[in-house]
Amino acid sequence: MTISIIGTATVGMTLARLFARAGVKAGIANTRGPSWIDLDRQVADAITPVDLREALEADIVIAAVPFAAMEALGRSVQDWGGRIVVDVTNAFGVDAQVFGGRSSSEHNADFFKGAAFVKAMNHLPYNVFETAIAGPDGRRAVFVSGDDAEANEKVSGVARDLGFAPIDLGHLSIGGDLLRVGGPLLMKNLVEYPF
Amino acid sequence: MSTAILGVGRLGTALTKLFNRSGMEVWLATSSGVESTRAAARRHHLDARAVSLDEALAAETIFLALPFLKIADVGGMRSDWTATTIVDCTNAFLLPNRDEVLRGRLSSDLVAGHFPGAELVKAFNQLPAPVLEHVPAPEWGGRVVFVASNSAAASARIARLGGDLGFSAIEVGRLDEGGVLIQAQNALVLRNLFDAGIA
Repeated sequence: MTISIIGTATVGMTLARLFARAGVKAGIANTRGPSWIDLDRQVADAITPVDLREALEADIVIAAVPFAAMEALGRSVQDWGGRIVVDVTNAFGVDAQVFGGRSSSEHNADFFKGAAFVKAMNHLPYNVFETAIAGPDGRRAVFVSGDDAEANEKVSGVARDLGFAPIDLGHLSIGGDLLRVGGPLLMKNLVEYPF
Repeated sequence: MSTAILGVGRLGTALTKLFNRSGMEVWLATSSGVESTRAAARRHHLDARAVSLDEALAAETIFLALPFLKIADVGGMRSDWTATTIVDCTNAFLLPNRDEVLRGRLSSDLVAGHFPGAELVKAFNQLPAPVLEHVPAPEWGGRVVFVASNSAAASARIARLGGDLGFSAIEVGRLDEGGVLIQAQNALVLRNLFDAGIA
């Protein structure tokens, strides 16, 4: 199962570090090209800069781009062929009326024809994903939501491999709503411990 | 605001202890009568006013900490529950004939049906009683409890009450939307979660 990260700003580079720390391999790409991507040596052990075209063909594509860039990214592929696309964006400052009663995730999903669209890892500022855990065996919760149960499970598996505690919220109509800007799960730094 | 807990089983006693810990007054009642309730309170070292079931049912907020199958009898004791907030702490998950009882409906919908006119809030059903009582370490943050209701006002009230009892309450919305996630044993049930906050 191949994974790629699209985007090399704060979110993309934080993801790269999280992957590297966990020893999980992924490709990383941006619109400028692989030769422009500068990775620390530790990160480069797990993360490989690749062409955008190659990155878009991964089994799991993490769209670490600005919210405003999601439509163009989605439309750049005519048919995503069942591949998983992970939306880590938040529609900050966007008038929710634009989404006509749906969540921003459901809105974004429409641009990714044929993709198994999953909302995940959007609910915290990215520096928080790297902060220390107070107690032993604690794992930071990461919420996963999507209309394809198998895709949710796969993304949950990646989150678990990265050291998080995935919480599968199910369909976007419910999970996407809970994870929206102003929703109850946004900015909630929850840590799960064994009982 | 008068608050009553129905039931002195493990959950009822745990909830009462949380009220005691927070210095908040609470009434306690069971279907076995005041004396029996009083004796149970003594046995468990609970600081609560033992009242009759009738008196408890007149409280503004009522916690249902009794078995799911006893709910119908309690609900049947009055025909109109307006001005009451019912906190449904029950689960139907462990009933041996669960599918027969629920027939595809949410357990909280069944409970709501027994209290016509009440504002129903689903809360304090997601964790075993000993876990609810247990505060592992303050630096972990507040223990998370999820709250769901079709009434935004009632949800906010019980979330605030949860905060007063020492929890980090997160409101997940309507019973048939976010509330589905807190029906046993869906995604938000039996999760040992703490809100570490954002510095």
